[in-house]
Amino acid sequence: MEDIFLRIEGVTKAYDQHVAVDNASLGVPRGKIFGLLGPNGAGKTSIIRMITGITAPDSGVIYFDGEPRGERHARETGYMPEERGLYKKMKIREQIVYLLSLKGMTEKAAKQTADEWLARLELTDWADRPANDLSKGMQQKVQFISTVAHEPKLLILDEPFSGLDPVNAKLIESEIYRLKEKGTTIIFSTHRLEQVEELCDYIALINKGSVMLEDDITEVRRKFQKQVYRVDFKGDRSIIQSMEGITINDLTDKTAMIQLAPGYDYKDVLRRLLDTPLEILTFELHLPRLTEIFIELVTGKPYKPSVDREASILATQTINEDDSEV
Amino acid sequence: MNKIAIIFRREYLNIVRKRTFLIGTFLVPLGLVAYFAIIFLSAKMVEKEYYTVVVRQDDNDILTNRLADTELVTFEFSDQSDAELRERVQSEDSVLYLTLPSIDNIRDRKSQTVQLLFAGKNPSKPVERQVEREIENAIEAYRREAAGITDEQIDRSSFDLDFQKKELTDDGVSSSNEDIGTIIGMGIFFLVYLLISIYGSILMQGVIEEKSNRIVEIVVSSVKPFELLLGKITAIGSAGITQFILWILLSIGVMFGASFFMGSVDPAAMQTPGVDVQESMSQAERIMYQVQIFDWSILWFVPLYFLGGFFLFGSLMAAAASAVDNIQDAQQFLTPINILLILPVLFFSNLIQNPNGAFATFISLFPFSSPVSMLLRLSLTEVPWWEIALSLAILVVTFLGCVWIAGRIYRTGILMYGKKPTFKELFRWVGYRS
Repeated sequence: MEDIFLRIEGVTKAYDQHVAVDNASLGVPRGKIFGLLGPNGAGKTSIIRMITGITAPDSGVIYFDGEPRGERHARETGYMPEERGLYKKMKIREQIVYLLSLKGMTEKAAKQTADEWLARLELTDWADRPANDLSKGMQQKVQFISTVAHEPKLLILDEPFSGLDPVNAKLIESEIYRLKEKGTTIIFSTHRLEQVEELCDYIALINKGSVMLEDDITEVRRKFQKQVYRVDFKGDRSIIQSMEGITINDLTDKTAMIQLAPGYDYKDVLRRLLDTPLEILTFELHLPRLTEIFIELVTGKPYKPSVDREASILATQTINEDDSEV
Repeated sequence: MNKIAIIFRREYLNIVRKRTFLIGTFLVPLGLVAYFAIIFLSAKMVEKEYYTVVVRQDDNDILTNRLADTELVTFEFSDQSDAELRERVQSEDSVLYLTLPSIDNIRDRKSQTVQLLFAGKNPSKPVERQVEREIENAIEAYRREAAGITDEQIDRSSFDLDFQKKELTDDGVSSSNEDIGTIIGMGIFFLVYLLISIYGSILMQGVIEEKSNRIVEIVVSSVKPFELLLGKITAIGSAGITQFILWILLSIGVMFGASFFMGSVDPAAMQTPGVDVQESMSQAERIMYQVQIFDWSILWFVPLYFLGGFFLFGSLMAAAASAVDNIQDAQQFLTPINILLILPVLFFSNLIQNPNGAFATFISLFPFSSPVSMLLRLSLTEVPWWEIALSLAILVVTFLGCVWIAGRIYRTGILMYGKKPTFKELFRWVGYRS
């Protein structure tokens, strides 16, 4: 049995007629990175706000390290909202000290911690400047410091990489790993699923206020794999089209995504492929991307793995939507 | 440290460290001094005008015999005709033409119209008053004589009571004066009105800033929204009080300076029983004196009523601000608040004319107008202590209610982005569970 640090049991939250979270249950294992995934408006922010104690559930219970969540857990939580900001005219060190003292740190300790962190993230020279003077990337580092410097047991990061340049994104990522090493439990919320596959140990997929799936990430991908193989080849692609025992999901001049028909074995298919005039470069099991799993879960239609033509586009795409969910 | 105290400290320092706070602190007393200096100087610069009042010799000798010259007015008795006199008035600026009432009209009537003609220069009030007084004296003397009342009898029957209502303080006595009370009262009225509006809008801007740059979400993950609201309101209210205290200190300093240059009157030295000290002073000295003897204990009430008014309006303004994304969108919620805020200004003249009337009493008890209205009344008149206590009690109960409602709207509002809510939604938020 997993050591669960944060447990959400049958939590429901409604605003007016709109049910934002519908009888959701989750368990976040201690010391792991847990991805809370779902499209905009799925209820991620509502769940996070209940975990942070900003709002309370209409029904259901949230257990924080085994105890029902109470006010005292606020100081053991660090929360970085997706849309984040600083007091524009307040000096950087003062802001950090202010936010840390609200978490219950003494002023002296807060000052010392702030200085240590500012030094580590190379912001010491900016400590006495107002936030307005800082670039956006620097401001995000300051926000990150304010969120984690009081060493919370639970860290909640809502879209932590949105708007970050690659250098700072890498820096924050390594800090996230460092905190994980120290035993911090981290909840990581995003609608950009491709980010999560690298970072998260566990995931939960949220849609329309409900938890649709929750598991270890490799387990999830294994569970959803559909005997789809990726074949990279050189030669006449009509040879593949005429093969028996497979369905072709997608086909280009160089790559085919093939699904085995029931009763067929991949060894048999591979052997027959090797017997053709085609030169086979790659033959590998396709583990579904989270996006595919998610689309299948949300739409109810089984996904059809395709050749990942958009991989490069996805990676560079910057998503900066106005998240108006409640 | 208590979380509200931490928030209080940040918000308070945030305001008092601002350059605008410093500027406001020094500019307002300067403006105040300029205000009094203008009154002072204009009183000093009033020119005296001298007039000749012409009366026709045969008009009413019973009265003409009794008219005596005054400081500003010399009576002249002429045998010219009415038309000739009218012509003279028109040709000479400082000549006025008076027609006296006939003897029948003054014998037993209670009042009588008298006509004073002028052309060109309009005689000032004091001139008018001196003429009127002379005629009244003449008529009264005539009627006393007709009734067989001698001056000796009058002398013996008349009694001049020097009635002095004075507050007993450690320093001795004080007395009050209505004119200066009105001026000071107006000053305080608008000062507090200004303080409530200015600090209310500072509070609003703070709420909107925190919301629009989203830091509020980080803050409320550490403290309850209500604690944040309380910390903000008390801090900004205290900054207002700080400014007020600085104003008073500076004004006292400037007043000392002013009295040093303009000459001062020591009220204690002037208190000779039975003598109206102000009679012997020039107009300017009189104003100085009145400012000094004014019952300044009203200043103790200013912070109380300011805070009450600020908590009341400030909390509502904060609630309005929390519901929107920018200050423009707040306008629809601010309109009713502003109407309430402006209410006492609309009734201002009513308050001045009858500070003890039922209406004045009502609006100095009604919580949305009491903060400034009661202060104005206090500077104009003696207000029973229970009315002060009652108005403060109503104010406190109302602002507690408003802060509570505002807190409920605030905690929902600060997390809502995107669409502008309606009034109906705001009221629904009050009922939400946290």
